[in-house]
Amino acid sequence: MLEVHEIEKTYEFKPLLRGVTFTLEPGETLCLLGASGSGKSTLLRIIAGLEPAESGRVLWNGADLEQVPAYKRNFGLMFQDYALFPHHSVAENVAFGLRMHGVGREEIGARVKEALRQVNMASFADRRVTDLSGGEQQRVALARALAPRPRLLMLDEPLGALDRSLREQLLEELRHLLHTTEIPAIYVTHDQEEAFALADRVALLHHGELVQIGSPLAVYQCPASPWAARFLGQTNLLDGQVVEARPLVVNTALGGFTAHWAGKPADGPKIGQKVTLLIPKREDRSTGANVRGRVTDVLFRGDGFHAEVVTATELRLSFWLARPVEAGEEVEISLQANGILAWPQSEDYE
Amino acid sequence: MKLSFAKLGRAAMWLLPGLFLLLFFVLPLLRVFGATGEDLAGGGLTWEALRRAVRPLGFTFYQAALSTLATLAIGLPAAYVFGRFDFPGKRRLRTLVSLPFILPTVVAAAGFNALLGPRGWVNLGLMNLLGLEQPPIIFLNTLGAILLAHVFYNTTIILRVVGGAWEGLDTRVEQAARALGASPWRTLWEVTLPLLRPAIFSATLLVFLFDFTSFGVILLLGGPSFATLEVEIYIQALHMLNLPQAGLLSAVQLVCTLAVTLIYLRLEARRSVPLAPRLRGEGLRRPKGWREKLLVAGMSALLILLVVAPLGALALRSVSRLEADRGQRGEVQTGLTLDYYRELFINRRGSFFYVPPAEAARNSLFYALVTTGLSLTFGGLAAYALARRGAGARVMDVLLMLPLGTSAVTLGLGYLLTFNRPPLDVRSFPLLVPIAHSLVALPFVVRTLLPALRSIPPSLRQAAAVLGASPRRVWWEVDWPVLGRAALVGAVFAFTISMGEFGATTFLANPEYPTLPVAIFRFLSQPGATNYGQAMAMATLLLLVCAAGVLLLERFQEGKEW
Repeated sequence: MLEVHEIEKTYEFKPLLRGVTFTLEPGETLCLLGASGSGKSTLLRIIAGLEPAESGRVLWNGADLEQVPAYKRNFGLMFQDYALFPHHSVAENVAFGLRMHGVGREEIGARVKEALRQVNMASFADRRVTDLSGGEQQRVALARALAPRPRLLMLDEPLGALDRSLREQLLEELRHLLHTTEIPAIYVTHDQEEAFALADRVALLHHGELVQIGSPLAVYQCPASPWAARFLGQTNLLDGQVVEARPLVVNTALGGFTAHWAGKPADGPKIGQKVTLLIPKREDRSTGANVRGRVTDVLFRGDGFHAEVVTATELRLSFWLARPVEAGEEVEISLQANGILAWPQSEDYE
Repeated sequence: MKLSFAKLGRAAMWLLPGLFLLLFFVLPLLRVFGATGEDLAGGGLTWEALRRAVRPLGFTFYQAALSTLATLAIGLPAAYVFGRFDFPGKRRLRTLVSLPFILPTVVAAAGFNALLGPRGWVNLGLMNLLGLEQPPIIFLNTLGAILLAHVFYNTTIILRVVGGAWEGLDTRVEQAARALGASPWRTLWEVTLPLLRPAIFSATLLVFLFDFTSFGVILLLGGPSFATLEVEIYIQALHMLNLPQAGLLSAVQLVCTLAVTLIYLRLEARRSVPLAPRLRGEGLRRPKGWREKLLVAGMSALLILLVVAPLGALALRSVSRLEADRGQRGEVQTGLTLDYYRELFINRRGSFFYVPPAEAARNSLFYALVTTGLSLTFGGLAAYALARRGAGARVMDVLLMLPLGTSAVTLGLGYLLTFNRPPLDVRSFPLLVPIAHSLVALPFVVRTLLPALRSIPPSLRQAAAVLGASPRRVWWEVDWPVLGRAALVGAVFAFTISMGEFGATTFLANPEYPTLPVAIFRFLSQPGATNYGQAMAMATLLLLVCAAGVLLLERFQEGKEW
């Protein structure tokens, strides 16, 4: 369906997008996950045809879209600030795309109703959009994007401006909607929880480069780089050195660990190579490797405890524990052995 | 390469206003400079001529400075009252005070004439009461008349700019000063006024600029003994037919006004009201205690008197018969009459050069409509160019604002010197009048359209495009609904400016096609009660047009600074 090929873009002489390439399958939801300034929104605007790329191609069913202006692509785009037309009512906003596509008056009425019903806003049809709350505006924007039945739906941080409980509610509705309409969708966010909740596949964007793309589980369990690990909330990273290549054994300030090589095969592992090691957060009592330390802080999180631990060598790590611990307590934590990963050392994960 | 609508539009929005300004603004002004330079070099102008330019220059500065001071003396207290207090009728009073700003100078002059002139209400009343043969109050042809008319015109600028800034000041800053032990006067002196200084400065410069380039007021109320640069240019060019001397005076005038305009634009670019209040109108309160109440009531009464007295006198005078018509003898029937309005449609003299006032009104209307069309077209294109920002936009911005500080008389003279060959000939190409009017109106139109244009978030246009709207459609569906209202405001500005423009028109209007202001000027300077009455009637009609315009403006731009 959608193919994005080697997109390059600079902004004020700095590279913003560097050779971004991916494809989107029918009915699939892809989440573009990255920090602010990683070029996510620009990529969306390039796909929508609102901005030109400096090089690279966007194809739809094999046809190059370069000569197709935005208004002829029939891609839906939902904006971060919703961009509702302030001079139109809710229904007129939703009808806009239908009018542009020359849909007949009666059909417009029916489809506006349908779209508003989909987002539970049917009773708001005659309201002014300026009188709506943030969550209501978000729903209207979604209805407006969906009404012309776009070939592709793109959503640019649609939940960014809303408070937490509303976000969770809307996330659930969005999830349901994306699955029932089966419109292929690209969802841009910086929030990994949102991404994991919605995505069939997640694509990680870092400094304009697509670092990793895969199912949420695969990406979480096997991040492609220390940056990806940290970005997804895996913060237990430490330096080490390879002492044995096969099986991989890494020596660190906490002692030796057996690890999996998560870098590219061409990059190692070699004996003596400096590496970055990831220690998983979740305790697994069935295996042998362990870490000792003193608990400095503990947070009760309902389904477990989040403990900050400092080791004898002054390393700070955090863990999810099922058992209760107290601050100041000396603990020994068993590690999930096959979750320990190693990459060639890089400075670039802060 | 395909020539798309968007590319064509982008080229047009730079090229068309740019060419318009070059051809009809820059070129005539350069011509004025060039002609003066040639004359100086070729000996056509002697040092004697230069010496003769010094006196009007001195007087121009003198009267502009005095007028500005007088305007500040009324405007600043009024700004305080409007910036700090809320009182019944405040909005209406603000509208009333802004009426003079778009009022034609001939109407204001006719108004003051009807109030204080030799045939005005006050003098006729006193003569009647005291049985005098001569009018006891000599108002026309005094410096006082000039000052009063300038205060009448420009108080609204101080009120809007400084009053607006005052209203926008964060009252917490003043409260902090009070809490730290400053007396009310210390607070005003050390906190409030320094914060307001940029606004006061730029309003003062603007007032000075308008007083400096004032023409109609001085010609009509000051009389021959008070020649400013403007009036002197007019006399030298049209009465003495001494174009070199007029050119020299224009060049001097241009250097002065361009300098003031550039300073003003620099200040304006830097001006920002510091520390906006959290809510609009937060610092406003009802006056408390007899002193505040007296201040608010007194200031309101003064402003009402300033505006209503001359305009009311004018309107009343246009429907009252107070003195004998020419050729009438004996007792005069005094009373209300519509004769002067009826006379407007009759060509009594049957003279070839005499143009009935109704035709002048028709000419004015035609010019005003053309002006509105021209200034909206070029102003709209220029606003789009400016909205993109960048170096080109900054040059265009300055270029567009310069007509604000250029005297209309100089512009008229420039046209006279530049467009002297067919087809672009002042005598035979009637569109030069609305073109000159458009240049005067352009800064106002652009300043009205630009904020509206900048208020449209780019995501709205993108949303429309993604939903299937072509660029043309995007403009119609997104830009126009927002811009339309501002365009209407700009149109009202352009229309009223054109209806009342006097300075450039005296140079450019063909004697056979005078405008209303020119006709009023002619009638006002002729003897006889009927002529005087007709001048009053025409001025009243113009006044009504402007009042309608101000009401429209006030409806459409609430809370704007001008």
